Amino acid sequence: MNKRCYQQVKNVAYRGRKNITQSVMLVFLLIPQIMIRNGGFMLSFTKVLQRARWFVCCLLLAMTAWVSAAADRIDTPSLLSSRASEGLLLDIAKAGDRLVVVGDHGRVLVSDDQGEDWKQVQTPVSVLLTSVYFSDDQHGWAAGHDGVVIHTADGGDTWIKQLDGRQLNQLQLDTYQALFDAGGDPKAADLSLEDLELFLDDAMVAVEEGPTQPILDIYFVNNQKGFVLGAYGLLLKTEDGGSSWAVLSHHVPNPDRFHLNALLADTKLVNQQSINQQMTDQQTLIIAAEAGLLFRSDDQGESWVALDSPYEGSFFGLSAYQDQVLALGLRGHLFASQDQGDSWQQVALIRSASMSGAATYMDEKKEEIMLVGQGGLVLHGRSLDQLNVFDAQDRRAWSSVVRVKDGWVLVGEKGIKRITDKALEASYE
Amino acid sequence: MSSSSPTPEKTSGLTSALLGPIKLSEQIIERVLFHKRLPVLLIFVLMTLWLGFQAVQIRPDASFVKMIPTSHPYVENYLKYRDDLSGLGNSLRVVVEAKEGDIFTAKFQDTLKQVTDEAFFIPGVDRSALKSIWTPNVRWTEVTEEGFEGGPVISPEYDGSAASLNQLRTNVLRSGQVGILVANDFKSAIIQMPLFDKDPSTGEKLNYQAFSGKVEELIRQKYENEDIRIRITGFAKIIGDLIDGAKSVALFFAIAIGITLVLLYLYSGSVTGTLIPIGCSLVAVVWQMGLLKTLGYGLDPYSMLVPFLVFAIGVSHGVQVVNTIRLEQSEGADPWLAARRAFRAIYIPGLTALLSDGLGFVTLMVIDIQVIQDLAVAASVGVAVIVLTNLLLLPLLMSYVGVGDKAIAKMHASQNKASSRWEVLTVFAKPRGAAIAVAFALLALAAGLYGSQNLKIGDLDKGAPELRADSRYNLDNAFVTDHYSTSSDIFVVMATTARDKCTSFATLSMVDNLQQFLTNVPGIQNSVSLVDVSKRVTSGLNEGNLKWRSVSRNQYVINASLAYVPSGFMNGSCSLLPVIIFLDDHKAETLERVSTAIASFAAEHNSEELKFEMAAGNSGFEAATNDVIGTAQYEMLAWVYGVVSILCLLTFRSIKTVICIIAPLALTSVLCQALMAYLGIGVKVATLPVIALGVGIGVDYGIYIYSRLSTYLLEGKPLPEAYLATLKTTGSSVAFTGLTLAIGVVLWLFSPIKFQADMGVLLTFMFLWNMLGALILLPALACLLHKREVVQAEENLHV
Repeated sequence: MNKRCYQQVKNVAYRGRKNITQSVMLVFLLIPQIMIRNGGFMLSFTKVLQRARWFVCCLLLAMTAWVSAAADRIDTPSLLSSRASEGLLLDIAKAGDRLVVVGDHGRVLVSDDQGEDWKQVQTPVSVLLTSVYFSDDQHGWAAGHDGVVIHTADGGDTWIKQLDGRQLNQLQLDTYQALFDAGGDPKAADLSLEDLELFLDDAMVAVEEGPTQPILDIYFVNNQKGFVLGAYGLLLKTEDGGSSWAVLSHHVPNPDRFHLNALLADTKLVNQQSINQQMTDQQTLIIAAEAGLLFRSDDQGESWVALDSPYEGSFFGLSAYQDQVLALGLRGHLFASQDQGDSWQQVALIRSASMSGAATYMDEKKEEIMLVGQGGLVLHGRSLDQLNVFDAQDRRAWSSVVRVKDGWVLVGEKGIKRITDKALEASYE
Repeated sequence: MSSSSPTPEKTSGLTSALLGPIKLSEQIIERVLFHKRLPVLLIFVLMTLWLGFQAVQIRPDASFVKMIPTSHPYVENYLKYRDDLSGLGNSLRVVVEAKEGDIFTAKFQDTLKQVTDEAFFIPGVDRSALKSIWTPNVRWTEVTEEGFEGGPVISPEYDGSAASLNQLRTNVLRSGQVGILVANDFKSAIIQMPLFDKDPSTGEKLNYQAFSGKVEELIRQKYENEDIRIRITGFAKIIGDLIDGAKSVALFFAIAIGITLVLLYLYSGSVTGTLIPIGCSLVAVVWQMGLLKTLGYGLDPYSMLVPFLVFAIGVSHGVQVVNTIRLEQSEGADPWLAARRAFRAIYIPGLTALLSDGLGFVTLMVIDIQVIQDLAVAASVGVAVIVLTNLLLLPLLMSYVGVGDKAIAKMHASQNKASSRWEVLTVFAKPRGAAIAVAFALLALAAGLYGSQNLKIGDLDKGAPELRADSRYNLDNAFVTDHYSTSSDIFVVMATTARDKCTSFATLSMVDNLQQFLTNVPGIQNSVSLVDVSKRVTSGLNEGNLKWRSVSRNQYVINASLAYVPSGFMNGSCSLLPVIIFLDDHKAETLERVSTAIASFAAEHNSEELKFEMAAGNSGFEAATNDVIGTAQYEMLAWVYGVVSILCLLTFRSIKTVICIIAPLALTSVLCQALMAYLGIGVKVATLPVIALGVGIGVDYGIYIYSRLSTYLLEGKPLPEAYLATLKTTGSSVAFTGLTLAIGVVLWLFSPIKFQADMGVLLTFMFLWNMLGALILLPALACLLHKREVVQAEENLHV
C-alpha cells in the first residue's frame, strides 16, 4: 500500500508539473512588475530588478526553447509532405465517395477520385496512425500509437485530438483506482480483486512509463458509439462520439494481456448500406487477438467470451464474406466461421504469407474478395476455395485494402497502390 | 633599324626599384657563369644526378583527405568522428554477373563461392564484415508461431542440386537481400568488402593502388570468362583507377616531347638549338620532381599536370634564349660571346616573366584544398627551377656549341622574307583597325559574360566524376545503380549525443522527425538510420505486424529492438548516430538544397542533448568542396589579377599599359568560363586552378611584347612600325611559345581521367587565346589609349 501512495503522489506531481512550471514562470514575470509599481521605497533594488528583467526574459526564452525542442510527437501537428503518399500507410476507409488513408507521422490523405490523386490533410499529431473508420460520410475517427484518437466531423478535412496516451493512462488509473476502492466491478463479476489490483498496478506503471500504448484498431457502430482496441489488451468504449471513454479492458477474458488486433461487427449487417439503431443494438462483435485468441460480445462490448480458437498463431484481421466470418492469421492461416465464431474451418491457401487486411465487394452480378498481407501478398477471387495470386511484381507488405468503383486500393509499407479490375483480369490471362 | 637583341640599356625603361637587385644579380651571375664554366657545369651535373635519383623514387599518391577542404566545418566534423564512421562507405563491391540466365545455377553459385573466398583473403579487407550470400553472417529470418526462425541463406545441406537451388531461392527472398546483395532481376550478386583504412595489426595505411591491383588480378582477371562478368565499384577502386590512369599520362609526355622536338627544329633549323632547350627543360622537370620528393610530396593526379607545364614553360623560355643567340651569331659573334649577350638580354625579362608565372601559381594557395595547394607548390617549384636550368644552364651549354651555320643562314633568309608575313597584323596598330579589333573584343566579352552565366559549380556527371562517363568504373557503377536498390550519391548527417544516449526515445524520435522532414526536400530519394532499424525490428518482434513499425516510447522495447545493430548505424560508445541520405544526383543545386534544408532543421532542433552535424559521405564532401570553391573562385581571381596587375604596374609604371596587358587576359578568362559553361564543365577542384595558371603564364606574352614595343616607341618609331618590328622579333617567339604550351597540354584531352581532360581543353584554350590577345588586342588597345602619344611620336618623326 505504501508503494501505491507513493505512486499516487508521483501521479499528482506528474499531472501538476506543467502547472508548476507555469506558476514559476508567472511568479518570475510578476515579481518585477509588483516591485516596480511599489518601487518608491526600494529604488536601488528596482534598478537591480530592471536589470534582472533582462535575465528573466532570457530565462523565459530559454524555457520556451526547451519546451519546443522537447516537442513530443503526441503534440506536434503532422508535417505536410510532398511525398506523403509514398510512406508507411496502414489503413484505408471510405467516407461516402471519398477515400481516407492514415499512416506514419500522423499522416492522413484523402482522395475524391477513387484513389487516383491524393491530398494530405493536417492532423494535430505526428504519431503512427494505425486505423481509421468512418461511421458516415462526415464522421470519422483515426487512432494510433501513444494512445492517440483523432476525430473529424467534416469528412476528413479537419481533425481534432480526442484522446492521447497521457489522458488514457490517467483514465485507466482513475478507473481501476475507483473500481479497486469500490471492491470490484459489478459488470465484470468474474474478475477477482487480485486481478483488479493487477490492472491497477499496470495502470500505475503505465503512468510511470508515459504514453506508450499503441491503439491497433478503431470501430464505430454509429456516430456516437464506438470502440478502440490495442496493445496489452486495451479496450475502450465511447457512447458520445469519442468525447469520453470507458475502460473495458478487464471485461475481456485475456489474463495474459495479449494485443487485441482487430474488431468486426456482425456478418449479416456489415454489407448493408444503412444500419438502424435497433439493429445495431443487436449486433455481435468479434475481436481477433495475438496468440490465436478470439473473443465475442453479444451486448455491445460490455461482456466478452473467449471463443474456441482453431490456431495458436496471431490473428491480424477480421472480415466477412458470403455469410462467413474470416479470421486472417500468421503465415497463410485463414479460418472461416459460419456460426459467428463458435466453430472455424481452415481455408487452404497457396501462399503462406501473413495476412493483415481484406475487402469484399458485391453487386447483382458478382461477389469478390481481396486479401492482402506480407511479402506483397494479394489474393483475389470469387470464392474462398479459388483464390488467385495477383503478382504485383513487388514484395512490399500490404496492410489494408478497400473496394472502389473500378477496382481496389491497397495501402502498406511503401504507400498506396491501385489495382483496377482490368489489371486483375489481364493478370489471370 | 637595328634588329639586334635589346641590351640592358634598352630595357632600362622598364626596370624599376623592384628590378634593381635583379639587375645587380645579373652582373654577378653573368661573370661567374661565363668565367667558371666547367665548375658551374659540374655543379649542374651533380645536382641533376642527385635530384634524378630522388625523382625516380617519387610515388603516385592520391589521398582522399587531400581532395577535400579540411578546414570546412563539414569536413572538420567528419574528421572528428572519422574512426566511428569507418566502414561507412569505404567498402568495395564486387558484382558477379551471369551473362546468361540467373544466379540460381550450380555453376554460378560455385563461382560466387570462390570469389567470396578469394575476397576474404585479400589483405585490407575487414573479414568479419565481409558479406555475400555465401557468408554465414547473411541470414534469413521468418516469423513463425513460435517466434523468429532463421538460418544462413546458404543452408548447410546445399549441394548444388535443383532442390537445394530452389531452397536457396526461397532463402534469398526471405532474407531481404534482394536489391542489396542480390540484384533485383536475380542476374547478379554482390560481394560487399568493407575495408580497413589502417591495418588493425600493423597500423599501416591501406595502399589503395596495391589493393586495387590485387582485386583486379585475383578477382576480375581470374574469374571473368564467357559466362561471368565481374564488376567492381567503391572508393578504393576509384583511387586505384585514378592512379592507373594518371600513369598512362607518361605516354602523353613522350608524345609532347616528340612534337615539340619537330616544331622546334622547324622553327630554329638548328640541331643543337633544338636539343639543348629540350634537354634543359627535361632537366627542369627532373629537378622539379626530385625537389618535390625531397620536400616529401607525392604525385597526385592533379599535380601530375605540373611536369607538362614546367616542360612547356621551359621550352618557351629556351626558345627565347636560343633565338637571341642565333641573332647574335648571325651578326658575327662567336658562340661564347653570343651566349653571354643573350644571357644579358634575356635574364631580366625572363626573370620578370617567370616571377609573374610563379606569383600566379602561388595565388592558388588561397584555396583551402590541399591538392590545389600542392599543385601551387609543385608549379612554383617548377618555375623556380626553370630560372636555373633555362636561364643559366641553357646559355652555358650553348656557349660551347652555338647554333649551326644552317640556322644562321635561315635566320638571315627569314629576316629578309618574313617581314611581309607579319605586315597583315599591323592593321591593328592603326586607329581604324584598332577600333574594329576592340569593338570585336567587346562583342566577344558581352557574349562571354552572357555565356558564363550558365557556369555551374561542382561536378555535373553521374557516377564517379573523376573518371570518364564511359570508363569501366562508371559503367560498373551505373550497372549497380540500375540493378540494385541503392544510390551512389550519399550524404551523411551525424547526430551526436552524450555517451550511451544515442538510443534514447528522445534521440530516436528527433532523428525520426529529421528523416520525415527530409522526405519533403526535392532531390532526396530516401534516408536510413538507426531509427529504421529500431522500427523494423520492433515490427519484427511483433510478428511482422506493420502496425508496430514505429519507435516505441518504451526504452526496454527500444533496447530489445536494437539488440543486434548492423555495423555503421551507431558507434561503439553510443554517442553517434549517422543518418545516411541517398540523393538523386550530386549536382551543386541538389547538394545546396539538401544542406540548406538540414542546416535549417539543425538550427531549429539542435540542443544540448542532441546535435545534427553535417556531413560525411561522398556527397557531403562534395557539398563542402562546392562551398569552398564557390567563394574561392572569386577570391582567387581577385588575387591573381591583383598580383599580376601590380607586377605590371611596377614594371611599366603606367595604368594604361597595365590595361593593355591585362584586358586581353581578362577577356580570355571570361571566354574560358563561357566555354566551360558551353562544354558542361563545372567549376571544381580540377578546373579552378586553370584560370590562375592561364593568367600567370599568359601575362608573359604581354610583358614580352609590350616591353619590346615600348623600346621601339622610345626609339621614336610610330606605333605601326614599332609594332611590326616587335612582331618580327618577339612576336614570332610568342606565337611559337603559345603553340608549344598548347601542345604540352592539348594531349591531356585523351587522358582516361575526366578532370585531366577538362584541364587540358581549358588550358589549351587559355594559352592560345592569350597569345592571340597579346598579338592583336594589345597593340589595338595601345593604339587607342596612347592615341595622343602616338600622334606626337608621329609628329616628332615628321618634324
